[in-house]
Amino acid sequence: MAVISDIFKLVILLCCGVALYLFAQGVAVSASLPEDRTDIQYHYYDGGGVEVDGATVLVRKSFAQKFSVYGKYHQDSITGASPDVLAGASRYSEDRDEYTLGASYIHDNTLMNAFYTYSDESDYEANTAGFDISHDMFGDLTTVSLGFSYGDDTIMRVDAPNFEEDLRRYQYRVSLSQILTKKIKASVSYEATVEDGFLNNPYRFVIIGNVPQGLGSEVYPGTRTSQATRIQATKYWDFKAATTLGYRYFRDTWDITAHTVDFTYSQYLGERWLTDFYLRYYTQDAADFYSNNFAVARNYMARDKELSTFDNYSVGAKVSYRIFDEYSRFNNGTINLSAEYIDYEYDDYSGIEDFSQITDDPYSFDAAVLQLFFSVRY
Amino acid sequence: MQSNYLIFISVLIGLVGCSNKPIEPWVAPYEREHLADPIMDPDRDAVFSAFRQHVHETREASKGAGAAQGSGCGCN
Repeated sequence: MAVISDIFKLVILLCCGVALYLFAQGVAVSASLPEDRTDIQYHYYDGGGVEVDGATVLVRKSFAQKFSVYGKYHQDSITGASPDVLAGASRYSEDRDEYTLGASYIHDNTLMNAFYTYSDESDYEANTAGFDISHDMFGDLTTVSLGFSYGDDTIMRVDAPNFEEDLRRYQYRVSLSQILTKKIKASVSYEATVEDGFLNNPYRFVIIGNVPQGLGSEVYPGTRTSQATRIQATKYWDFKAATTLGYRYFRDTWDITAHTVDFTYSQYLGERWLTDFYLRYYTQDAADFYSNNFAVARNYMARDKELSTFDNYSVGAKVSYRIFDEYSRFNNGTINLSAEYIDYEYDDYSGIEDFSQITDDPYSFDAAVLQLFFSVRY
Repeated sequence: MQSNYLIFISVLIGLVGCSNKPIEPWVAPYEREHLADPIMDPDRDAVFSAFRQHVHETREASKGAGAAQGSGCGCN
């Protein structure tokens, strides 16, 4: 708890310090509200025995030149199950519905945003509310942002009507964006997350001495504090292209360390086409209470593949085509299609789909992600 | 830890003190044509980026310092 307490103190001090700094700045101008737009998306995921598809609708509109409100609806239909779940339960299908309402307010060069999200599925309910404030300074070369979110989740089990657990999540974030030259900008972001409650996945199980235990036999600590720091730089190239390079370092109190490197190359093709190419590499160490096959029972035990040692890489591309400009009351409309391939390689997790066939062979799978969306700006 | 806080506060006070001097932007507003181009923001489409981030985060242990906020699991 001492670590959590120190993080709280540091974040509060940081917030006070930046607030003091913002107060001392008197310069006005030019933060801007997010653009008015409507997006309609179809998405599809297929990998590791799970298929997800669904739709997302986002509508954002400004008024009185100071306010912008938005609503978002996201729906997932999920079928199948990952190997952990298949070993102990049958395949399933379920829906997830997520609703978000948010509002932004701009005053001089300060932009504020508040949001509330509610997500509901048959065995998981989540409520998240958050507030962010950002401020442009130094002639708008620098933007400082602060944010906080609180989440309150309820975890259930479809096969156990009396099972119900709670999870609370506190997220503190701060970021600094900086224009470096006429063609280069960079940012650094930090986010601390404190979670308190039921952190297990109730459908997972552990293996002790080659003997699989029952569903819900994992035992996790009741708290988790994690810290993530990301740096990113974007450069414009004279041949109508841009490149973005990002790196994120993650560390938590479960002894998980993770590194993410991502690269995006964006290129205009003619007047109407915009293409993006994505590369991403991710690697993490296992939690200190993770084992694929425990020798003896311990106080804390996990066999969730998300807590194991693994890495993945992904490649993807997105193509956007501007269908029209300045039509009626609309500024423009685009149609966009993206595809991404992800390859997961596990070091110390074996995908067991049958309790009678316990193996130490490392598990791997690949996944495909497709997104098709239509955007209108007005 | 206490000494770290003192150093931190001292730096902030110094920063606030310096802020009374106007800083000349080394990139003037009329020179930001390229920086303002949508191509300079890889997360220009929030709906697209949020789903992509959700796909990765539900299958990894790490999270935070990203572009999107959300909730729910969808991670069996």
